[in-house]
Amino acid sequence: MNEVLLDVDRLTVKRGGRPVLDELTIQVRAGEAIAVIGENGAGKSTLLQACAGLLRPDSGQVRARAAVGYCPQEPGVMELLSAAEHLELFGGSAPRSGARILGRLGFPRADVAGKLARELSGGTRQKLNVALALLDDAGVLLLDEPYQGFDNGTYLDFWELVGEWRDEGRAVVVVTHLLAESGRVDRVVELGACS
Amino acid sequence: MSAKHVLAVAVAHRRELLRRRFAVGMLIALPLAFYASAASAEGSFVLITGGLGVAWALTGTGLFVGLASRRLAPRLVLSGYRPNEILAGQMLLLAGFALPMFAVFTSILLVAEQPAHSLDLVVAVLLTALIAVPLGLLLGSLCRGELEGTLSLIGVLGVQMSLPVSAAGAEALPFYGPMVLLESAYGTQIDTAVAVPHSIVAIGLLTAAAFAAWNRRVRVADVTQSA
Repeated sequence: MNEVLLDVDRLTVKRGGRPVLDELTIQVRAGEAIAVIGENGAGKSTLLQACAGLLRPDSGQVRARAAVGYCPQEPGVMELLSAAEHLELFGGSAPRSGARILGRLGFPRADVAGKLARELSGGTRQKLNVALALLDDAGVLLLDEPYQGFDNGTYLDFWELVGEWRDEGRAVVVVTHLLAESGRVDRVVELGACS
Repeated sequence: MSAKHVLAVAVAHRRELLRRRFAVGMLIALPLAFYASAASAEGSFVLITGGLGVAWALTGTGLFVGLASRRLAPRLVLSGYRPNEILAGQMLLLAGFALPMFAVFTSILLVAEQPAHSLDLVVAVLLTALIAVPLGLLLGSLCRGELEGTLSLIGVLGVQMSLPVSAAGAEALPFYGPMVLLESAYGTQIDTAVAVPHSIVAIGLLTAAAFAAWNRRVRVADVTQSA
């Protein structure tokens, strides 16, 4: 059995005194892709934020045994920088690998340096958002509904990529509403009203 | 602290700032407009309005730089940046922006107002610029959004400009030192010995507060540490 890369142990996160996640335990192994589903407010985004270290849990802990790449639901980009300038800022010495990742995601080549983030369509911005999570060759990928705004072709390509990342030995966690794609992942974790 | 990271952040914000031509133009034009509208006022008010104009421009710029990087900063930390490197990069950018601002406002005031003590005016505008940089970044770290930040900026600078240096509590405000020097520059008989030390303390406290608030704002727990 592959090594556990992401270990969520009895994680509890409260918001306004109410537990959003209550003693949640999940393990994701190298070479495994899981989908996290649940109703609005079930704590899907909260789980990913806690796994990325952006939220301090009320109790329990998260341990990652590889670098973590996090793609937030809302594109965390600077509106007045181009994709190339984002790669320069994030990728530092490896802007070429960033350009390759953008290419793999179907980001229009002419837009890499030619358009500012605010001039990109929603789906293209989202590709940049995903690419920034992949730049550090992260072993643990946390993707919060990363396909929003994708056209159908790009959406299918994205799930192909999830399979590739899994085959590369990464641990992939995708928050999704779309049960139709549950066959493309190894496990589905459903969060309840209070998981 | 990685100089490469600090520089990369400064370059990114410089690019973004240069593309906000209208906003930057307004940040410079508004204090100049305040100054022009105060031209007929009596006493030292004209000089104070012009001298503290740099504070409006730089505090406002710092505020918007801080707010603009809110979403991105945690991701930068996840990819290896330290929060202090991000803030230091923003300070570096603002310091670069402060130099021409200092030059423009000082030149205008020296020529137009011909103050009694020119050196006091030059030092006052320089200290104003140096205090405004960490103040803007502190507001950018503390305030929830642009509206709250702008109202806080108007509140701090509005009270500062309307409160005479002789009033009770004036020493508690960040630009007290420059205000004293501007009074002296106008020709008011006033003890200026406290102005520079007060400003140095203000710069130190505001810088420490800006770093503390920023670190709290973009805090990312290292989940890989305990592996």
